[in-house]
Amino acid sequence: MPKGKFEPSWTARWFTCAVVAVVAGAATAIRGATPPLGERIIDNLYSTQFVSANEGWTVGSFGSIFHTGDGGETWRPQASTTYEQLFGVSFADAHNGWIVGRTGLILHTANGGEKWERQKNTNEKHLFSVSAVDAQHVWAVGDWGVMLASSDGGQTWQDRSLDRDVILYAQSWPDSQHGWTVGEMGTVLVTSDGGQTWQDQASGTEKTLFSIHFADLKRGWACGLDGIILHSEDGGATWKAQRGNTEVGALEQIGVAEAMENASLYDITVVGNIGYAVGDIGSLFLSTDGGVTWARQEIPRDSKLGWIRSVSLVSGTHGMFVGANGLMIRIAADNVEVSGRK
Amino acid sequence: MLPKSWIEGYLHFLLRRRVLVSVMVGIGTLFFIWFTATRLTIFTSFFDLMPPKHPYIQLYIKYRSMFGTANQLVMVMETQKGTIFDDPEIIRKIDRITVDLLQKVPGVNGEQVISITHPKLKTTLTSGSGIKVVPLMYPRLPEDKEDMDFLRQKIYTTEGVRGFFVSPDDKATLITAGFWEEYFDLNTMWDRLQEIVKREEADGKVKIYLAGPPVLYAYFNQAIGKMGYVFLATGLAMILLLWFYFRSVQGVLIPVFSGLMSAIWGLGFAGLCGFTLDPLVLVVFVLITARALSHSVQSMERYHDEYHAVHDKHEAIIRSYTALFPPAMVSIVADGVAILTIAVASIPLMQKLAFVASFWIISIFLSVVTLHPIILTYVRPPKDQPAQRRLSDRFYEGVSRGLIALGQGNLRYAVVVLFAVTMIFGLYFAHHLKTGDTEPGAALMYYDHPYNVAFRKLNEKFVGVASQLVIIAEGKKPEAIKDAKTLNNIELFARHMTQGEGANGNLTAATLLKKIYRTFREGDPKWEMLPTRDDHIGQLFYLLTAGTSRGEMDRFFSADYTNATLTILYKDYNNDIIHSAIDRAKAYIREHSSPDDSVRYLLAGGLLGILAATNEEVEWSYRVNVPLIFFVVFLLSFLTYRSVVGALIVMIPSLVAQPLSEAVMYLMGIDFNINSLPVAAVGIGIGIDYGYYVLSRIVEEYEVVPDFDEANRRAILTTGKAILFTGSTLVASVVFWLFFPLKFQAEMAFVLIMLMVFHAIGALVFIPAMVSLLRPRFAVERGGQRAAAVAVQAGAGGGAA
Repeated sequence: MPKGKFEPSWTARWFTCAVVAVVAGAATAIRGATPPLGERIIDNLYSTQFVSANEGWTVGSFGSIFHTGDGGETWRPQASTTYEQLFGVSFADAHNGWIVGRTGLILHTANGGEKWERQKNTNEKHLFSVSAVDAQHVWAVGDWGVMLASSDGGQTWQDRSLDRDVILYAQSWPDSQHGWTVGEMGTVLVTSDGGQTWQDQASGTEKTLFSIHFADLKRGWACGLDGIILHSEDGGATWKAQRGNTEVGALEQIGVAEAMENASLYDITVVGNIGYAVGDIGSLFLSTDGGVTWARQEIPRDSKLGWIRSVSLVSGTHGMFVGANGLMIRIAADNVEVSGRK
Repeated sequence: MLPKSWIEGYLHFLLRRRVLVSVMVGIGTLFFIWFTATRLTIFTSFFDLMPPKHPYIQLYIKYRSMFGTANQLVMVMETQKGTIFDDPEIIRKIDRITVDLLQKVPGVNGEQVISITHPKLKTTLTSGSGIKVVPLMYPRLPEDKEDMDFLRQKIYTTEGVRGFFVSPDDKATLITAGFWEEYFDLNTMWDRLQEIVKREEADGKVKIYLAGPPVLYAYFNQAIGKMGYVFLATGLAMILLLWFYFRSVQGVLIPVFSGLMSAIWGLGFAGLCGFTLDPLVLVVFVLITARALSHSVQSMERYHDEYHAVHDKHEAIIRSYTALFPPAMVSIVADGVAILTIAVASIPLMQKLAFVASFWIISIFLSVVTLHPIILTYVRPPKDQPAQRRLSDRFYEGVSRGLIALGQGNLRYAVVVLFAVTMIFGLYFAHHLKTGDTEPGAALMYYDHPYNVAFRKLNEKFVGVASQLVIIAEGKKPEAIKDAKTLNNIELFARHMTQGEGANGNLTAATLLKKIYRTFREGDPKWEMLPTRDDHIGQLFYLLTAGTSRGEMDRFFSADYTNATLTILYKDYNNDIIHSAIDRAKAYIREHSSPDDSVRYLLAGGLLGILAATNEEVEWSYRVNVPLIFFVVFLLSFLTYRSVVGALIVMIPSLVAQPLSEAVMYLMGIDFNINSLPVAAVGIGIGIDYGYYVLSRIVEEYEVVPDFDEANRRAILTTGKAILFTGSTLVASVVFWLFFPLKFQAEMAFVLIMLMVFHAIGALVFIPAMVSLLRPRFAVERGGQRAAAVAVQAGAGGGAA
């Protein structure tokens, strides 16, 4: 080879080609594995939970799981390895969380969602709600009165299903001993022994309740069909309607306009003085007096068409609503304003 | 080529049997007149723009009912101020229009009229007591603010209304009407629509936009009415050109006769084959007529020359046509075959054009080369003209001095460099040329045409109404889709497509079943899922179809539950998005299909599917067609000169003109589309003649003076004029189309003119310099072979003035 003239050997050429191929392949693989930030979220979102002002998760149809570390500004998908609808998410802390879904699906993570693993459950009834009381105690409820409980962080699940056919939609656990669950036909069940026994409570309505929230052992709220909000001051012994009609009336009697005005409310939460209830047709109610009175709030125009299925609130100032077709609305800091997020 | 004795024999035969030949041709012409009069239809079918053999189009034809009617009127009514919920009058307008469409517009299919005031659009009211289904206008048309608020709520809460019939910004609403093809009355429909628009826009509250194929047809018809003016202007221009050239009635009438006769043969041939002639491509036929004229002019010019030399009619005819015969043949065959190559595109419009245009061109052999000698025996010989200098002569002498200089000395090298640079420039930018504009409205009309304005408004306000990609899930067994697993898979596929670029939503049978399931579970969105059991799926299908009329669900699944559609809605589309959507679908099918599936997925219907098919076909055809034309032309040139170098030199103008015009198209933002197919074929076919003229004349002159510089000089002085006349005739024949209201024709004319001008420049500038530098052996060898000169001598026939 003449001096000063670069003439690569065949080995060098092959080596270069190989390096280029590996790098290109790796780049493609990485791109494939983690979709770019700001990827459009178009799936229905059914549940959201924030464990701090910044960190939260939301889950929805087609096995979609998203995580945020900046209060909902940006979301990154997490791999669920399933295409089932995911209906509920609950984290005991920033690391330990559960997701439940269609056909009895239970997913668990011990590392903040880095990796989600399926947990064994032989009951194939749809699970609509999960509640991680702590890293060991977890409850899931759903279709056909199904109730599942684990006291070992989901290693094993006991079937505590009711012996009646009632759809259970939601639950609330102020501590590991006291819990409530609600569902079809105004059903409210309560336990004070960590779920060993459950007693019926008289909700005063036969309308389906979609959500329940107890701020402490006494003060609780439930919401449901026809926009009703129920409130109890005595641990659920008595319930009083804060809005809506507890009586089931025929459409002709109610009037169509009124029926539309009172769209179903799907989730309710009260933290400190701030409370939110969300529901169909973009219904949103705000309480600034600790859940005593509720006032309708306007939400961004683009979201009007859709339903809002879940709300999560952290210390009354930060949180998120999620709903139809990837709807996400952040609850902005301090001044309790809502701002739309594309 | 043909021996001189054969040609002379043929000419003698023609003159001897002139009555018989005239009668034969006359009978043939009558035959074609009869076919033109009885069998020829002039009509545009937009289906002719689509490739019928393409699998997507075949699918479209097979499952037409599942893709919805194509003949649908789409009306967008936009408020000028506020939303449609601010003023009850707006809703009354919608109602009036809906009623008028149903009652006053002929051919409307009552089942296919939809608007928010039509009782067909229903809303489901859910409450603790149950479910109630009522029309959106229940209980009455809104009269006050309260009614309007109630209507808004109903519209907001009903799936498939907002975004589809009311725009997301509440400022526009959509009214659609399907037409029965057999009762469709375009003119009455258009008049009624104009009345409706005028009446409802009168108070200034709304603006109405009309789109959809029926409207496109109406606008198209309006424009076609103006074609007469273009023909008139073109005819006058032709006659003026002829008059300036010959200054005699004879000189005008004989070429016009040839042009008309070829036209009759061409049109009659179309009638004979049962082709409908499409007004869209009339530009090409006008150009061919001009071609007949210029052939006629060249042969008469040569005859006049010979007559002035020998002063004997018969001898002049034999001499001139013996000389003219070979180049005329080559030229006609090259034109005819080049245009025939368009038939590789399996698009009916293009195939019909290829056959008719090819026959039309070949008929010039009869109308000019065969009939002219006969006609000339009947008419008076030309008068001896005073040696007057025509305007074109004076103009051309100035230009030719410059051209001659370019072909000599060192300037030759500059010309060769210029050639290389031009070609590289052309190839570089031509490479960027993109396919586009295959959407009928955009391809036919100008950007600002009311139709395109309306179409853009429709796309802006209503996502996916106009731009859908439809995929068919074809069942492998009866009731294939009445199955949870299959529906799940369909849904996953639709969702995968919706995550692609430009997509904004999807509609499948699963979408509808899930809505029902949810409704029966007190409206909780968590129940918006598919049941896990097949019998539950069956029940949902029953519930879904129970309240609908026959055929209403065809868009989603077939009545026998065997086939289903996946409709993907796009908020925006262009060729890239269409490509990526099709690729995405193909990749998904490849990765996710298994032989056990009860359905197979077939691409693709909807506007995007049809556009994808047309784009694919146009792209493929163009890529095949252009090299094919070059190959055919090369072959003919090689046969003419028996020399590779000679053939290449002849093709120099085309080698520059084709990429250069593509580059200009790119730089001017003209997309490559179905138009580009015939233009390239016609342009190269005609342009190559310039090469023949120039090269043949140079070789001919070289035989007289064996010096290429002198040969070039003489060739440019003589043949250049022929090219100038031919070029201006051809340009004049299409130039008026530039002002035609339809973009399709105007654009086609523009690119044709560009190609012809580039060809002329290429022939006059590049060929002499190349010949001078390359000194082709065939020319040098022929220098001594006078016998072979006949063919080439005549090459400059038209320019021998």
